[in-house]
Amino acid sequence: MIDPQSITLRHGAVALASLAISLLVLAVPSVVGAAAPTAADGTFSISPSRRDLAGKPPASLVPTKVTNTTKESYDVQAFAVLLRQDLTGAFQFSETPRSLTAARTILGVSPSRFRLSAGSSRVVKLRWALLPRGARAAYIGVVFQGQARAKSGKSVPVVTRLLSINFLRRPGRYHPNGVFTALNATQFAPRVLRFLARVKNTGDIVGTPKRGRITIRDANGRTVYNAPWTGDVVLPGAQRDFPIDLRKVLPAGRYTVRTSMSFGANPNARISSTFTLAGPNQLTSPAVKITGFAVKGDAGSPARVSGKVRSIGTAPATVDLALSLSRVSGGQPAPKPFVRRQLRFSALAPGSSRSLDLDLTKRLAKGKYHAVLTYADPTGAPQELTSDFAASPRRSLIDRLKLFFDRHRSLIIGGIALVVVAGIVLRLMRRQRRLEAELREAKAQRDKDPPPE
Amino acid sequence: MLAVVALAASAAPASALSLGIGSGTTLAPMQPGQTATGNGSLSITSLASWSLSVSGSGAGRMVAAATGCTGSDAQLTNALTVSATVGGVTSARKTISATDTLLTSGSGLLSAFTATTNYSQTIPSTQVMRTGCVYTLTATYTLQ
Repeated sequence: MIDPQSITLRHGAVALASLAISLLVLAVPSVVGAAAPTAADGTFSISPSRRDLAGKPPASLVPTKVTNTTKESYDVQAFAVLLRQDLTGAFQFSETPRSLTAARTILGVSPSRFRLSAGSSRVVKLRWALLPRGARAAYIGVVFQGQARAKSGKSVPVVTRLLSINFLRRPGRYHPNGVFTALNATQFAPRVLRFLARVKNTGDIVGTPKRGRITIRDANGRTVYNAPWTGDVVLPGAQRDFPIDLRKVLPAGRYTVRTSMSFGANPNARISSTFTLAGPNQLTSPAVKITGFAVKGDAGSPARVSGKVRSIGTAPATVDLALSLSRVSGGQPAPKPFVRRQLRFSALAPGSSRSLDLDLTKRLAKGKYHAVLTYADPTGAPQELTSDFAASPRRSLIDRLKLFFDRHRSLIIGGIALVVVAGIVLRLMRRQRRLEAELREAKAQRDKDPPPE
Repeated sequence: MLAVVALAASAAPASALSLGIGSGTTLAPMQPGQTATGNGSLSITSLASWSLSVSGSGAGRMVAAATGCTGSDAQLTNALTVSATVGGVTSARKTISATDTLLTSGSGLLSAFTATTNYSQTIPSTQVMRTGCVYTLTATYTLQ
């Protein structure tokens, strides 16, 4: 039965409802020249994809229509997940059995598995059963996973998932509120600055920052940039970074950036920070690059790490490195590394570099190894470098000489030839000098003892 | 009484997500000591903010086929990586793992994008790969 009186459409729902995303896997110009699918190949779609509603469970939601306009049949799975939000604003979910069970008890999905033939559609019913104990709201996603029934024969086949977002809550009085927790300047691209305004939803309901504005002043207090920015939804308790790009080019100097917003009960939240430009829209910022990373070793010898840590930014850099070494068996590294090492390089001056050379182990056993070096770049993004090697028994002196000769055969032959030629030339020069001396001596003797007349 | 809580009944246009499923990508050269690469392409149309994340089977490491791979390593040592190029801007290369990793995102009214996905697989020279052995990984793209 439908009870339209129980429907409460919040203001934010209109914005959410306007969302329409389509993503089409198009051309695959792979190296083997696969035929490129086009838009005419159709899509796998759901509608609606977002709901923001207040009501009382149990209740049936407007069902989702799943459509396949491609020329292939798909196996479709639909299941509920508990949503959380990361700093980028993207919704994340866990697929552990416990988490999936918890989501399923809140929102039932039926049918959860079905085949969708080419050019067909199917309605999936959603039933909001309850809210977690003591909770007034739930943030539930529904994953619609589509996979072509026909095997593609490719080494990287693709499975597509569409995530529908559902904000479910009881009617009543809520307390929207939000604050800034950080404002960071980053170098997004050459001559493009990106300011990340981090907002925390401290209220008890999904909220959106309103009337966002950013202002930049130079060292003299003169406003050099002033622009609005647009907010988006933040889950209660979550923090989210709102990127604000600055393409207007500012000259080198010191600046103050300030941003403000209205978030629920906090109509004038603001935060400021300072930043320095080393050149036009060029932040003085630390940056680190690791070059020549490699780990090698013989059986019975230490695993030797080599490489350089280079400070390539415009400000002193500090970087923490984590090194690990695992045995490889059947091509797969052991889940737990048998050696871990933490390293810190502090206050690396711009343009400087430090050697990474060190022994990671005492003695290696014969076998294959997988070394991983991880660190966070100045933006906080994790970076990973790997090195693989096989530790063989150390060779004898004769074997090493043979190997050396094999590797440098042309150089050695060229060197020997050079020495031989140099010896011949030297010998000829000596002979020449000796002949000249004999000639001079004979001439002197002849001058001294003139021949009888 | 059972209540139907409706959103689509509003005057606002119904929200929707759609995704076409491609035929996948083949990487080459799949040989020890080489870096195998391959490209795919995604077309994205959005009326609001969107984000595309990626995860992979085998914890991001390509797995040898059940047949024809006797004597080969069962799984590649290194995880597959991917980046996305949208509007001439290439995202940071992401290592594919079992958990969803944000690949690229965008916002704006009625925006249409074509994203090229650039795969890269580093294969150490110590990897044992017999001729004819096929390695695969299923990449799962999630659009929200």
